[in-house]
Amino acid sequence: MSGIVVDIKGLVSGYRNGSASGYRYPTFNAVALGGELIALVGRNGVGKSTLLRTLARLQPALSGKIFVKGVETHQIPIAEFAQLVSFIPSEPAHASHTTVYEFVSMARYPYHGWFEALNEDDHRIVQAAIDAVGMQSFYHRFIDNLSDGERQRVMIAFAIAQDTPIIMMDEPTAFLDLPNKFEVMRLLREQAQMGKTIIISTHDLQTAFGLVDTIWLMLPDGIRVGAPEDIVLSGNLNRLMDDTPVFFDLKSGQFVYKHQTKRLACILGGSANIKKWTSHALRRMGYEVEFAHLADASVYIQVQEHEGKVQWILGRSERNPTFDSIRNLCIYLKSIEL
Amino acid sequence: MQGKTRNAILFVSLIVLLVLLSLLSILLGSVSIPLADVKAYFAGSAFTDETNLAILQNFRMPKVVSAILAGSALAVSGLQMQTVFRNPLAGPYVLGISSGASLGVALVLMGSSVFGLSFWGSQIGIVVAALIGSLLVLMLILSVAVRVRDIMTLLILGMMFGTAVSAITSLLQYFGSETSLKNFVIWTMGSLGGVGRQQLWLYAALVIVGLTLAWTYVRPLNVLAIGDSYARSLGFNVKRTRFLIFLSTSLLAGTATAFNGPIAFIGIAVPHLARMVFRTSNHAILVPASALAGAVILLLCDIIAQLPGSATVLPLNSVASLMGIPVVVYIILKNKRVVS
Repeated sequence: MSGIVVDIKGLVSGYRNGSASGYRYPTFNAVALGGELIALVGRNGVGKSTLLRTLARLQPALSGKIFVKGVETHQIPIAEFAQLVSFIPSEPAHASHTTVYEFVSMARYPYHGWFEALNEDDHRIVQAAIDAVGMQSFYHRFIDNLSDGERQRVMIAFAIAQDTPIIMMDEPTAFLDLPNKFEVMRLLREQAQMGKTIIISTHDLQTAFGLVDTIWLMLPDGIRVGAPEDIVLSGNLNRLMDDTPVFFDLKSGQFVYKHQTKRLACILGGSANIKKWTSHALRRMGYEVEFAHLADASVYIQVQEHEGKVQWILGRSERNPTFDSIRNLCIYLKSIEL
Repeated sequence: MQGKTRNAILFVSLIVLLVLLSLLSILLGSVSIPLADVKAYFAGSAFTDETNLAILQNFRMPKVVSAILAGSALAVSGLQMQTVFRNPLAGPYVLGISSGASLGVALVLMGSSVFGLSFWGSQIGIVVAALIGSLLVLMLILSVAVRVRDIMTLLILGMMFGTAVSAITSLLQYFGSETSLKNFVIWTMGSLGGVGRQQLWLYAALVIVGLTLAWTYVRPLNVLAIGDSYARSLGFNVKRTRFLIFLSTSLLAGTATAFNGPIAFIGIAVPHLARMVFRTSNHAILVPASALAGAVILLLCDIIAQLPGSATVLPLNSVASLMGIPVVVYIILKNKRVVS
């Protein structure tokens, strides 16, 4: 990574409401480097889209300055700006009867006057962009007939074809299943590795934390910037979820639901993996779990492994109910609770 | 079939249809004119029947030309509005253009009896009044368009203006004399017959300017169809683009309404037909396709409205709706959907 590409100084984004002050989001300072993949992370309504739209000049800043490659954005004509920043909004493109190829071709408009036809180079760039996202067999498909994952890949192709040093995408992983989320992030990483600056917004923390270089964490009182690990260690991540039953478990690196624990369960025996996932189920059921024999536990579960078969035995003696799956164990526990 | 050859075949078919229907429209009417006379007219050779020459020169030719002008103007302006508003129900009149024109005409036809004023009651007077009326509504819309960002707000404002202007027209109708009222109602039914030879040049010039403007806006239209955010991030000045598209639409719809009355249906239905038949949303194809299809359909409607061989002429608007709607319903049912 090298060189400051985007420099944001004292930026306040928000909405003006007539002459009244309207709505202002907290002041924002940050720099984005060449080759950096940045995720703008925050809760719904914290102003991620507004900030991104402000950076992409789709709406005016309330105050502050944005520099792109050292030039204040307001001094860049909007047509020229389109050669520096490509922005993919979160709302899907309305386009019945538009093929993938026609759609991606529009990304070349900033390089031409209104009457100039696209030239050989443009067509090469459009094809390369579609190929880069693995959609080469979809040239002539209508984009309203694509799945969400395919459409999002076409959107990335659009940004690639616009051939800008900066790509911004609003919620590129929303509505996608896990494989598609990872595919989208992989494609964006690939672009970042080629030296582009990528800024995306997302509320999908898990995807963001695993795969981006830098997090811009938007909290109601301001913005924290750092590597995902910096953000974790600073404890700011839990501030994101102050008012929720979710917390970030530093040890496991996972977001965990704070279950209401009422009773104690002891799990005895079994391999590490089986113990781990049995305790997972018991926590969900509202038990606190220990792996030692404690006297005040309300439930004891003995795990036995025999010839590749696992059995869960409730209580301490052989006569007690025995289960061949965690599901059946849970069903029984639920029934005795009632 | 490959997209390009398919489009070429469709365009050629439309042009052939246009020529055939124009010829039919010239030949047929309350009086049938022999083909030989039409040949003579175009060849500029001597005429045997002076009456037929007069009919050709003063009625049939202006009618055919104005059918082509009105059909293409309304279809293209409807296409522009559907694209800009991203609304399948939009048409050339969503901005209140026809309401403005109607008010102008109502003032001319009924103003005399209501206010004791005597305007020019002539044909050209009606055209000028309708043009001024739609121009005033246009200026109102444009002054709002430069301030309002949201396209839906603009759509609602356009409809509000149209309704308010129609309310004034209703008042005039309420107080107007019986004769003037009937004249006004007949005007609202649409007609291709009222355009004189001298006015045709003005009509053609205005429509050609409007169509040229639409043609230069093919690219912005393509991008606006996808979404304002996309247009903006591709470096288009959305408000300015919209302003010029409105200008083109008003010019087209305003002129057509001024000369031929408010012809419904063509402006809403033809763009859908073009999209479905050509299976594209590329305006480089849709603009000429809509223009051609609009002309063809209006010619066809007019031929039927003339009830060839009889002296009766049906109101064009009614024929256009009765003729066109079954076609559109058929195509919609066949394609299952109009928009995604």
